[in-house]
Amino acid sequence: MAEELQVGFVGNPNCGKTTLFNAYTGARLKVANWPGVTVEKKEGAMKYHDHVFKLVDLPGIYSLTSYTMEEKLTRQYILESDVDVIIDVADASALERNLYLTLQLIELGKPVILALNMMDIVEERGMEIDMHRLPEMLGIPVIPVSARKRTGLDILMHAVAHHKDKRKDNNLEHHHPEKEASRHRHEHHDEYTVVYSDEIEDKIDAIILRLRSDGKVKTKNYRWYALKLLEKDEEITAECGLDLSDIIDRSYETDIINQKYDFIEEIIEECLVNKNKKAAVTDRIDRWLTGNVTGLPCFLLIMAVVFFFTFTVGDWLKGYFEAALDQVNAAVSAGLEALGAGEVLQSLIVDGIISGVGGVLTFLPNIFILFLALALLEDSGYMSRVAYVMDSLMSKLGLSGRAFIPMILGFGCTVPAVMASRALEDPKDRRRTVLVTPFMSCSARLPVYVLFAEMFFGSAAMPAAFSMYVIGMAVAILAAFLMHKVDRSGGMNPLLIELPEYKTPNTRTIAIYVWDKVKDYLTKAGTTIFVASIFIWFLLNFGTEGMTQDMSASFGASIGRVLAPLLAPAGLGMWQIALALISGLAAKEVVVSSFAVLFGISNINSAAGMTGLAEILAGYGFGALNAYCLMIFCLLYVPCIATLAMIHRELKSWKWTGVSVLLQLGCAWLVSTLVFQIGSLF
Amino acid sequence: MAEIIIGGLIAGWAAYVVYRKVKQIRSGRYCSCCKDDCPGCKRK
Repeated sequence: MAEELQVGFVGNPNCGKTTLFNAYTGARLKVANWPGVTVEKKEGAMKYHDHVFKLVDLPGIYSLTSYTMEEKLTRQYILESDVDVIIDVADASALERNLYLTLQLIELGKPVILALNMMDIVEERGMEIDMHRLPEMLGIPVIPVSARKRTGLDILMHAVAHHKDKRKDNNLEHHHPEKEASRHRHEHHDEYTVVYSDEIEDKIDAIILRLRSDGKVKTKNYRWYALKLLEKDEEITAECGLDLSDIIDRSYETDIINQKYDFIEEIIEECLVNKNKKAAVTDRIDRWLTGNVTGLPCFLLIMAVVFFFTFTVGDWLKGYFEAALDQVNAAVSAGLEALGAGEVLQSLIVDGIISGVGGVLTFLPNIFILFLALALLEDSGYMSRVAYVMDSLMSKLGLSGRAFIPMILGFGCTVPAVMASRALEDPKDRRRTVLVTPFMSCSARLPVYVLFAEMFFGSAAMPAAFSMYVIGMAVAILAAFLMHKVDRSGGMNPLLIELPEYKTPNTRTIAIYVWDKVKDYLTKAGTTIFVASIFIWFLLNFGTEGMTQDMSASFGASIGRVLAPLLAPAGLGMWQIALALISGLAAKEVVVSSFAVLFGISNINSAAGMTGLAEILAGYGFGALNAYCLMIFCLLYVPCIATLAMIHRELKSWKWTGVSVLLQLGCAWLVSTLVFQIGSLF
Repeated sequence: MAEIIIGGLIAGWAAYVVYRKVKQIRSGRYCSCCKDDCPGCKRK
């Protein structure tokens, strides 16, 4: 029978744990070149010869203290679960920083294997790591791997299969014949990886003697327990319950940290060759991209370039989709005629489903380019710089810099972005972040911008759409600032973010990221947008008197007319717009499909479709200013149902979910009304 | 006959989508757009 082994992946944030985990399990968990992507442990399994490995991917941490949620979760997992082997994934290009966690893991007493990831970057920089001396100094196996290039993976699992037998219950047991702390000679280099100063070693011995004689503490690793007591670790001190004030006269945390770093310095001195040859490319680029004056303009410029490609390349590809949609439309119409399908069914399929779903599908090239660009920015290491750049701006406004990470994620999809707010420790800070994150423009809003900007702004379409992203960020920051002014309570969460080295984006990571997004978009078109299109078609073709040819007598018109007066100050006082906005709650793309169904446009994204729709809208007095206000309203109003469900889940309160809905509706109405009223003056 | 089959297929698919969505929301799986980040959708 196959032996089952539990293997935990532990390491600093952004060292490639998830890429390694994906490589082994074939899973496609989200990876990104910025820290904090994994916020909870994830599990997978693989077979290796006679073993079944249960692999657990843990959140990235810098140490095993118990200050943050991620650290607590990882420490708890290592201490309390039956993990057989720990794979400590370390970024070989930042060995000095990564070894601190390694030393802490070794002290925990479970079998540890050091997987030196990103060896390719080390080589690129002209550095070398002494692979003979490093395992000697650490006392554990060290395996060089490259998760991206998938090298060294087999050897690492081979080491796991062998190293599991190294488990010893009293692995770090401190043996010395005298059994008396006072005669202790501190010659433990054969026993322990890190040997502390005489003062600390004396205290460790004294604490161990006390713990043993007391006998209440149930641990297999007295040395680690004693170290934690010396560090005044809250959890362990509370658990111990012994009065050790005669030994522990103060916190020795700083001493212990410093001595660990002294040892790391020794390791680096001996094992890292050509350390000073580090390429300074990252530093040179960062001087511009994260500079105090240049950082923000660079970010806006990069996003503008992303938009340029989204529009130009996206529009070029779009032509093929439009042609295909026209053919499908003609073929389906002819097929239905041939089958002798009734008028209702023909209308449902051609005017409802094909117009709605097909209309949204033609935006796929734009979505594809946007995600490709976002994936490239993430994987190259730029996105974490954005958080860093925004941190300085946000801290000037008295806001927490950490709050910007969920907000950046909001450029993709608001649902995981809201979830990412968990990284904030203070509940009020977290609530503020959850409330403002939906203002960031998610990808679902892109079809709305593309359609209306191209219809009404011609050559200025790209800047018009780009301005939505800037307005979204500005409103989010302003709203968070005002909330902070109203309620000043809540701690500041300083942004501690590692800025990774810039690297060439990995094709596989990019492909997985983009394919997942494209697949989700197609799935959404076939499910949510499909149903929403049918629903809208029903609302527009049926009224109190049954099926009707006159849409103004339909259920949809009746619903829209109730809300239209409220939207009139924002230049959106048409029942059709009110109805499209309501349907956008299912998913923001549905706003576009609703327009297609509402105005009977079969290929809304084509030149002919856009001209037709623009002419119809112009007949209602709907011009460029109204279009811009509609884009702003779509940007800021209530996010989709999925996001609302996630907001409720994260805040665990109907009251605050309601506040979120009102805040977004209020902001959307206020900003679009302001723009419309001011714009109308000119 | 063809009309009934096509209409039935559309209605069936729409009903299935709504059923799946409701089930998803009730079970804590809120979205299909972020499978890997969603605690309800994590792969074992």
